[in-house]
Amino acid sequence: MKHKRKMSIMLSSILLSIAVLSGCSGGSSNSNAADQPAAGEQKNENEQVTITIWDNYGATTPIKPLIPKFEEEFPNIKVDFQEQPWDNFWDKMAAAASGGETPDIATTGMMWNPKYTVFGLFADLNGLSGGKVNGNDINSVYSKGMIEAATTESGLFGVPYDFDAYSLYYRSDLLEEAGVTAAPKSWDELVEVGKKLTKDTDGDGKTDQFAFLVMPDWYHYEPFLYANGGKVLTDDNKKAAFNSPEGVEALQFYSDLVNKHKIGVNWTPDRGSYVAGLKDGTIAMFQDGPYVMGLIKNSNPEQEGKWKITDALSNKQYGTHIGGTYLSIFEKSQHKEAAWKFIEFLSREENAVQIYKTSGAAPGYLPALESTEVNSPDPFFGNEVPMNVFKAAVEKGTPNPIVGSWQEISQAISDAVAKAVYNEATPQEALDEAAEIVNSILAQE
Amino acid sequence: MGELYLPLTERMENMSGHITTEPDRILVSRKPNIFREMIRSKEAYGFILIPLILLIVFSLIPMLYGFFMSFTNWNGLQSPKYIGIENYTNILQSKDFHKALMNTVKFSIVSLAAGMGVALILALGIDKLTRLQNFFKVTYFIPVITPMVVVSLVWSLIYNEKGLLNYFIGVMGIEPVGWLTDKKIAMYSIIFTSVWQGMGFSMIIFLAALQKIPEHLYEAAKIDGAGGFKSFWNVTFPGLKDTFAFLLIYGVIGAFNVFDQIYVMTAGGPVKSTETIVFQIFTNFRYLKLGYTSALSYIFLFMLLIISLIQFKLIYKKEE
Amino acid sequence: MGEFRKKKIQLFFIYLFLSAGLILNLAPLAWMLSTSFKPGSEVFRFPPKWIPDSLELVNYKKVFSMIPFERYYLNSILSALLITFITVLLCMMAGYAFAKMKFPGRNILFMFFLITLMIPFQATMIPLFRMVSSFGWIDTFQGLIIPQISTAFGIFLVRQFMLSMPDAILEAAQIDGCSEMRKFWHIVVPMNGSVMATLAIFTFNTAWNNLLWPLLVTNSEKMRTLPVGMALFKSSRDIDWTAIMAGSVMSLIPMIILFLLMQKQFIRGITAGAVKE
Repeated sequence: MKHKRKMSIMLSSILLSIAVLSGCSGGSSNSNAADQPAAGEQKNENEQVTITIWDNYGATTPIKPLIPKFEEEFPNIKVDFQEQPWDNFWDKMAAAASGGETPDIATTGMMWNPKYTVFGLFADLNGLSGGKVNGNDINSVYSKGMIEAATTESGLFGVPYDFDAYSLYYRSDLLEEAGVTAAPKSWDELVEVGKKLTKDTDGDGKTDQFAFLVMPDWYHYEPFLYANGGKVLTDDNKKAAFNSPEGVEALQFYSDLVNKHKIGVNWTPDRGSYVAGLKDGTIAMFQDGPYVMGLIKNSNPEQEGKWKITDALSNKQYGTHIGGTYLSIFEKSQHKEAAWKFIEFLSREENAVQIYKTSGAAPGYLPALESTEVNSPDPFFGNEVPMNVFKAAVEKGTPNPIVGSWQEISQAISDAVAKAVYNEATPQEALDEAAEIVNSILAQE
Repeated sequence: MGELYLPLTERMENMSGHITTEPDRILVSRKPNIFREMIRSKEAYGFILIPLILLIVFSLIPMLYGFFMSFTNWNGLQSPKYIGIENYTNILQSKDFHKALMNTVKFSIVSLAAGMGVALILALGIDKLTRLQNFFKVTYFIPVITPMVVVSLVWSLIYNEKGLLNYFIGVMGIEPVGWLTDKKIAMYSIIFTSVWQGMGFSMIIFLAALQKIPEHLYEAAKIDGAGGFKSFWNVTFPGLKDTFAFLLIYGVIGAFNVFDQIYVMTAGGPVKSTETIVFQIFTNFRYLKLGYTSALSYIFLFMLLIISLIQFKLIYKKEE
Repeated sequence: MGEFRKKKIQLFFIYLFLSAGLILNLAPLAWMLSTSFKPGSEVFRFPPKWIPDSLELVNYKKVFSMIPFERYYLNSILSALLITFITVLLCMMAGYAFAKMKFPGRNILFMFFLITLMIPFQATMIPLFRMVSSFGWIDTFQGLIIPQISTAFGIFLVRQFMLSMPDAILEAAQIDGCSEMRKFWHIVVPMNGSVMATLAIFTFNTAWNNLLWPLLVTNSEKMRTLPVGMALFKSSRDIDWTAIMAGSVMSLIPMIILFLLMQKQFIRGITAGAVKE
């Protein structure tokens, strides 16, 4: 019976340690259920409440460092900050939503939000805010497109926290070296300049410096679609419009960069982040959002002064989509007013600037974009003020359509872009096939 | 211990398969006594009671729930609407599903054949060693305990266009290969990684089985004049049959469920050439098409069940 | 004489072959270790550099400063140990019953277990979560641990091993008047140390690396496990490769310790079983 005794000792010691561990955590867990006042009592200013926030910013979150300051100013509100991994954020969200236990606030995005909005997961912020953020009219402090992209019949499901709009990054030193005086503005110029920038630098017969980054996904294709006067969906969001002649021409051009002109590098997912290609000089130019500024600065400090940023490429017109991170409040939240106070706090100019300073992204709160901290010349970017370019982009850009199944639709477009870039199908075939899928998805909406 | 030999060797012959068929016979032939039989077996039920309860609560109930939801447009948030077998017909007609099915079958066959082959060779080699046997055993096993996610990340670096592998073949004067970007090759790269990660497990199991084959059977074969290959075929192979059965049945289930390495290394690409059924289940789950996902899971389960039943029949039939 | 030499040459080639295989086998892990000491900028630098210029612990320190690593580590060890202990115990008993005891419904029940292995977790995740949530188990240790005790694979493995256990010994014990429980502890468990060790390693490994369930069921820092913490190093913008590799190295350590501890049992189980000698 020696075995039995050994086992029971082991078992009881493990159980004991569990009891200890859960004991010391008992206080903070289940904060939702524990100290919930009924909705009516919320008016009481002295009522102690805890709001929970789910944040998917990762290590460079601008939100977490601001919490002590908020709690000092609002001693009756405690913020329970819960970091969530980006990759599984929506798995977590799906489970929480279906199981009925949501936080009060979350960082959300346009990719998945439409679906959840359709299902009524988020509270309408227009009603909650009375149309004002920190005393200013909502429409005056956020870009029109960003607000438009978050508005449905049932209201405003989030306020912009950071924004994303594409501009052209280029290596001014490589352009100079190739005898090019100005960055390309149009597609034609891209091809012309691109030929000079694409090189075999070490003479082994293979190209190791490409003029342009071609990502086989919809984000990077979309600016080309818009620049060519195309649209993703028809205005009533009922049918696919990306397989119009404008769309096909745009994809033709985009895939030709790799297959015909051979000036674009097809950056396949297995290569990981393309920042590596920026570092080793494989990529001379690319289009992406403002957060890449922070990325290059952090990982390639030796490239100081070599990068510059200008408007995204035009063909028939200027083109970029706009997107970004929003802050949303959940319909099931018991502390919506406290949650809104926190959002207002985060949006204050001096706090929104932290988005730029801590995580290198562009604040969605426009007054913060005007602050001197964001607008000082940056030696990394040739002593220019790169934020100006992005500010213009977010004003001129086109928001994505708001349909519940946007995630699936964008995936279908990504598949089509990949097929064309990999030369699996002609752009017409690839987009027509995607359009068929998208139309059947939309028919079910 | 000497006296154990004799009955044991006799048992070796008919040890393996009888399990699956016998109790049924009890059930059928002695029906009137079934309750008495069950009461008499209360000790046995006691041995499986807790696993059974856990199974029912945490697996079976969610599975049944999913089964009912597979006939609805359930999205987890709104109340589901009954739509009949629409999910099933949609899936069976979908081109993507056919492609994913082919990819899954391809992955399973190649990775299982290669994995078990390599593992058997390793086990036979290690079994023969006189020294360092333990060292090899332990070291070959280490990839098995390395998380698949980590394995996939490291191999992504290796397969990278400018990675280790292309560097080595470049030294030998071969053009670089798009290990994960060429749609004809990507699946085999993933299979290679999977075999690398999993072979230690099969190796250990084979080795355990090899070492359980009594030495005197080999000696007897030798006296009969059997050479290396013949004794392998007559002694080793039959001795490993249980092990093959186990590895095959479990291996098919495991291979069909391949996910992590695809998620990390290719995300189903290039152009869906590595998209498997489970990957599709995962994507649709993320779209919150939970009714559709459930239907897809049940088609998947049904296929695995058929394959497993065929395997059981093939493996255990010959025992009769 | 000739045969002896032939054997020696054969053995030499076996060693050669196995050693070559070993290098291929360990290279990716060596790469992981090497990456964990590199500055972030050198991860993608090729030709590959196996030994970093300086052995800096920056990445390891970063892991500790960015997440409450010690707490996650403790939670992981504790939950994985408990899951392993319960799973192995239950599987040994049930596997033994399925292999060596006769009772009505045995095959059907066994098939039941097998079928649950065949359905992907994503399919049952939401119903399971809702159920656990209705038990009030969100963010608790029981919610973290109990649903992870899945016995199907273990029962399958144990049963397969015990099928080849000689009945003679069990029958001898039967004659001595041993109860099933006594037989189990005194004969079955000691004779099947190898499969117990294998199962323990696998269960621990699965629990140790499980990301999705702990992520869903825990919210507070005090409940979270290591894989959830590690997933935080991958954001929408970037992957912190070096931190991930440093974290992976540290998370591999308990696995290797467990394996090295268990493998003694493992070997004894195989060689000292009643079958041989």
